[in-house]
Amino acid sequence: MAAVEQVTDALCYHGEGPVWSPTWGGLRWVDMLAGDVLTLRSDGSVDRVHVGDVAAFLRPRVGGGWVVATERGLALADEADGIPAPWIELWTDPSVRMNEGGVDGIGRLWCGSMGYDRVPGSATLYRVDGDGHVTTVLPQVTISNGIDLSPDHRHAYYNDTPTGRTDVFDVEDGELTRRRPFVTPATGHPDGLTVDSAGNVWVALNGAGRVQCYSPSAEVVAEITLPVRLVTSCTLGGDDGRDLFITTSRENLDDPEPEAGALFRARVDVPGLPVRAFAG
Amino acid sequence: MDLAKQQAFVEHVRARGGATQQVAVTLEQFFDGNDCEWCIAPNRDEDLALESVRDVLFALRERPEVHDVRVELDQLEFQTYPDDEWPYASGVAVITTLSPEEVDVLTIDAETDPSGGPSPSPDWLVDGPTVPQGHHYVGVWWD
Repeated sequence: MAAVEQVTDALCYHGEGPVWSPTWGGLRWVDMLAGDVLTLRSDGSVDRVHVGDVAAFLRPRVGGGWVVATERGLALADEADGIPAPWIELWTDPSVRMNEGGVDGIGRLWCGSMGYDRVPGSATLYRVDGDGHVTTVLPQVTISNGIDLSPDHRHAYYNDTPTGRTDVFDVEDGELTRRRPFVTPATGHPDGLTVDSAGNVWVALNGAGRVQCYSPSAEVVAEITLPVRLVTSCTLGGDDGRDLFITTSRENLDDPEPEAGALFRARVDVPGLPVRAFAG
Repeated sequence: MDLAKQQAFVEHVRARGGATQQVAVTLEQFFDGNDCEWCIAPNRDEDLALESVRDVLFALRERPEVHDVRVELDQLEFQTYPDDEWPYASGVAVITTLSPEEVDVLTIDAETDPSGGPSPSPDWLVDGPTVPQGHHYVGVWWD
């Protein structure tokens, strides 16, 4: 089992969505319900940028700058350290907010939502083209969460958290097809996920205080235990791509652990894949 | 003025406490979308454009002796900013191993006044820059 190291203080109420990108000098993640994006600087300090009522997830843009999902839309920054300005709104229903997302193999953004009251079927997985065109990919999901591609882009792994499992799709002509269960963990709720360069799938198990790594054949090949129950997401980065950064939360806890809301790091054997940038 | 960027910037500063405190921002955050000539460096020669002040500060940050440069905003002046206004900055925090006099030489083309400091840390700033060992704060400003 890999050892885990606490990187920051418990800075976040609901830390989520870590992304490593050289374009912004390392790691960014969100304090989702504060509407803030955090950047870990090389000197260990953390910068915080407020982007709206919600900051759900973010990715770099192909032409520079970055995109962030806000409560019901997307905002764009032209500079790596710029402040994003609103771009498009995907829906108007105030009972639904953005949650996790990702980028597909040709630079389109996957945007997942969830209802504030978590009504089954109230959420959607959307896809946003570089020109802002929006397509519904999966209607009637509940808490659309982590999504990522295999290294050859032939498979996509996806968590709709209340299903209690991670699913896998085939990717055919850019579309997600043949959805089927990939793995059902014995404990915890599948939250954020990331795929490494060997095709292993790292899944944050919210409520269980751990991250599990599954081989492409769905065997557990590694597990990281944290001192915090609400483990929300993970990504690979660092100079050699072998630092697994893990976000945590204290959302709705009456008795949060002292470290709940901190960022953690574990050294792993297989490096991650370069982040895919949004074409918009 | 890019009004969408102006609004996003003001909302960020307000969320960080800028209505009642001095918030520090990066050079990119301050200058991206900002063409308000009087938002920084008051009383400079009218031929010295905002762009030139910007270039001096970015060049300063690139110096090996400089760890960081952040803009020190004054408390927000308006609830809703007019189309031609950007939050005003009275100074710039320079985290460096240089003396104030050495910084002055590097900022002379922005018509700065003699810098303040050195001080251990700009702890009055929200989101102030960190000060690595061996570095200190120098306050660049304009009268």
